[in-house]
Amino acid sequence: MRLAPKSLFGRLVLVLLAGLVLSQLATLYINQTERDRLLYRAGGMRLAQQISDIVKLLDSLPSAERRRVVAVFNRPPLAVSLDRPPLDLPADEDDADFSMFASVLRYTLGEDAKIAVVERAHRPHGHGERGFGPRRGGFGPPAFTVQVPLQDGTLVTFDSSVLPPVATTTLRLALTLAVLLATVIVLSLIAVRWVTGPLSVLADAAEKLGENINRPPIPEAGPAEVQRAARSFNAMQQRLAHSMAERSRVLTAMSHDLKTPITRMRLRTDMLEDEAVREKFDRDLAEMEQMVTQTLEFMRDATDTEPVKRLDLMALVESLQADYEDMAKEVRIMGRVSRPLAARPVAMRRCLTNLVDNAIRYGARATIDLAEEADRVILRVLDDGPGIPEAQLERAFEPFYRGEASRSRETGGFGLGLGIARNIARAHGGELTLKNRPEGGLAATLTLPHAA
Amino acid sequence: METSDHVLVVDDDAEIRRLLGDYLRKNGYRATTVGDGNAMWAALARGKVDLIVLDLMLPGQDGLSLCRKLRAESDTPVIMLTARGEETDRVVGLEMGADDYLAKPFSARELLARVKSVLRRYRALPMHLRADDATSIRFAGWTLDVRSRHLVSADGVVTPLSGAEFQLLRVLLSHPGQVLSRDQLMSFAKGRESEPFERTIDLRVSRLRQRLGDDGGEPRIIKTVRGQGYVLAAPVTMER
Repeated sequence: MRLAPKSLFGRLVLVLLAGLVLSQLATLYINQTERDRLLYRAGGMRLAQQISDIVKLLDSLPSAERRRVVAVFNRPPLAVSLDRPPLDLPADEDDADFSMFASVLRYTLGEDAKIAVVERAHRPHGHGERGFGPRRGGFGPPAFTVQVPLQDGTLVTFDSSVLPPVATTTLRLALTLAVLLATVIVLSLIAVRWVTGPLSVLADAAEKLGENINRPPIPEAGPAEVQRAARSFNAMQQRLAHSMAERSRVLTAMSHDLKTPITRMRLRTDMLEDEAVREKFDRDLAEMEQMVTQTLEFMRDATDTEPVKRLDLMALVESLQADYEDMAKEVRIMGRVSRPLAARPVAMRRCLTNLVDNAIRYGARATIDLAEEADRVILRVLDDGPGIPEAQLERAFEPFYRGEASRSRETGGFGLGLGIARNIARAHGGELTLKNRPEGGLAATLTLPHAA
Repeated sequence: METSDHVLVVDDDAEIRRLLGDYLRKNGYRATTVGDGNAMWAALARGKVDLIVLDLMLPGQDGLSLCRKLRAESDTPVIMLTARGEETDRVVGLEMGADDYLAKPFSARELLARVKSVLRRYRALPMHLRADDATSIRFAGWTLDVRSRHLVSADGVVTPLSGAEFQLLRVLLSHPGQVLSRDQLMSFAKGRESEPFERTIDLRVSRLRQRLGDDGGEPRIIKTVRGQGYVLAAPVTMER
C-alpha cells in the first residue's frame, strides 16, 4: 500500500474511480458489441440500397453504355463487374444478417430477382474499429459478393471489400471518461467532506487542546464512527482537565500553605543577633519564597483570563525602568516603538519583569532594546552577565533549572521566571528565545506580533 | 525610642502573632495581639490603638469585611497582611480602606518599615486612599484602572505606570483641587530601598505629566503651585 494516496479524499477517489472505470469498461464492451451489430446492419441496408440503385440504373441503359457506367461505379469499397461467371450459391442461407441483406435487395429489386449472396470472409463482429475501418487505396479481399442478373440476363457482380466506414468513437469515449472522472471527483469531494468534516473538527480540537485544556467540548456529530471518536475525545479532555485541575489545586494549596511557615521563619530570623547567620537564613528563605510565589504565578498563568487591550509598550518599558530605578537598579532603554500592541497588560508586565529580573540578577544592569517591524515588535533584554553554555540555552526554560554553579549557586537559579515569560509570549502569539551575545552576556529576545 | 504607639496585630497564627508582638515591642512599640475579629473589637474597646495589622484570612469574619466595618467607625490606619500576593487582593485591600498591604511571606523588618511609613503618612495627611470602592477613576479624558494599576487613554490605549507614579496619581486624584505639599506627597511614596527626596517627587510629577501628555509649556492636569506643591486641576469621576 506504499503507493496508496495519503489523504482519505485521495483514497476514496481512487476506489470510486477504479470501480466506476471497471464497470464503465464492461458496459462499454457490451454496448460496443451491440452497436457494432446495429451499425453493421444499418451499413448493410445502405449497401443493399446502393446495389439495387446500380442494378436499376444498369437495367435502364443500353448494354453499350453499361460498361462506361460500371467504370464510374467501380470504386472502393464496392467493385462492380459485368464479366463474372455465375456464383455457386452456398448451402446455408440462414445467417440472420445475410438473409436480411438479401431480403432488402429482393424488396427493392423485386421478389423474383435471382440474387446470389456469398460470404467470402468472416464478418467483423464486435471487433470495434478494426473490421470496419475504411481500407484506403485498393479493394483488398472481398468481404462478400453479390450477383444480380439484369433483365437481359447479364450478370452484375458486386464485390464488397468492407462494410461502410463508421464514424470514429475515440473522441466520444474520451469525453465519456472525462465526464465520469469529473463526476467521481465531485462526488468524492462531497462524500469526503461529509465524512471527514467532523474528523477535521476532531483534529483541530486535539491540536488546540494544548493551548487550552478547558476549551468547550466538540460537537458529537457526523458518521457513527466519528461520533464515537468525538465522544471519547470529549471524555478524555474532561479527564485530562480534571486531573490537571487536581494537580494545580494540590500545588497551589501547598505553595500557599508554605507561606505561613516561611513567614514564621522570617520573623524568627529577624530576631537573630548574629548578623552572618541571619543573612544566610535570609538567603535561603528568599529562595524558598521565590519558589512559592513563582509556582503560584505559574499556576495562575494557566487560568489567566485577562482581556487583550491595546498597550503602549513604550510606556510599559519606561514605567518598569522607573520601578527599577526606585529600587536602585539600572535599566537602560534603546530604540522606540510607537504603535500600540494588542496584549494583556498585566501579563506582559510580568513577562518583562521576569526577563529584567534575570538580567539584573546575573549582570549588573539590564538593557531593553526595542525594534519595530511592519508586523511585529522585537524586544531584547540584554545583560552583561556570564551567559549560559550554548547546550543549555533551551533548558533554561525548564522549571527550576540550575545551570553551572557559577551562574546559579548563589543566585537561586532561574526558577520559573523564564518559563512564565515564555508562556506569556506564546499566549500572545509570540516567542521568547535566549542567546549568548558575542560581546558577552545573555540576550532574551521577545518577538510579539502586531494584531492579525 | 520616641514612640510608644500602640499596634494591634490580628492574625490567626499564634506563632506569627507572638513573633510580631515581640519584634514590635523590641522596636519600641506597644503591641497587643489577638486571633480573630471578635477579639479585635474587644481590644479596640479597651483602649486607644494607633495602627492595626490585619490578616486577610481569618476564621469567622475575614480581614476584608473587618476592614470595611472598621473604616465605617474610625480612621485608624490599617496594614493588611495577605497570603495570596495577587495584585487583585492587594488592590481590593486598599479599596476596602487599608492604608497599606504586605504580602506573606514578609520579614519583620519589612513590616516595621511599613508601620513607620503608614504612621508618618497618617500624621502628615490624615486621609486614606479610600476611593469609595472605585475600580476606575476618570479625569481629563483619562481613566485610571485601579485594579490593574494602569491608565487608559481616551482612545482605549493602555498606558502602564510605575508603582510610584500610580501612588502619586492616586493621591492626587483622591484630593482634586487641593494643593498637596511635597512633604505630603512624599509620605505616600513608598521607595523600598531609599527614602524619596523632594527632587524625586518633582521627577515623578514630570514623568506623570509626560504620560498624561501634560508636559507642554503650561501643564493643565497637574499644576505646580509655586512654593507650595502640586494640585490636580481637573474634574474627577469615581466609578465602581
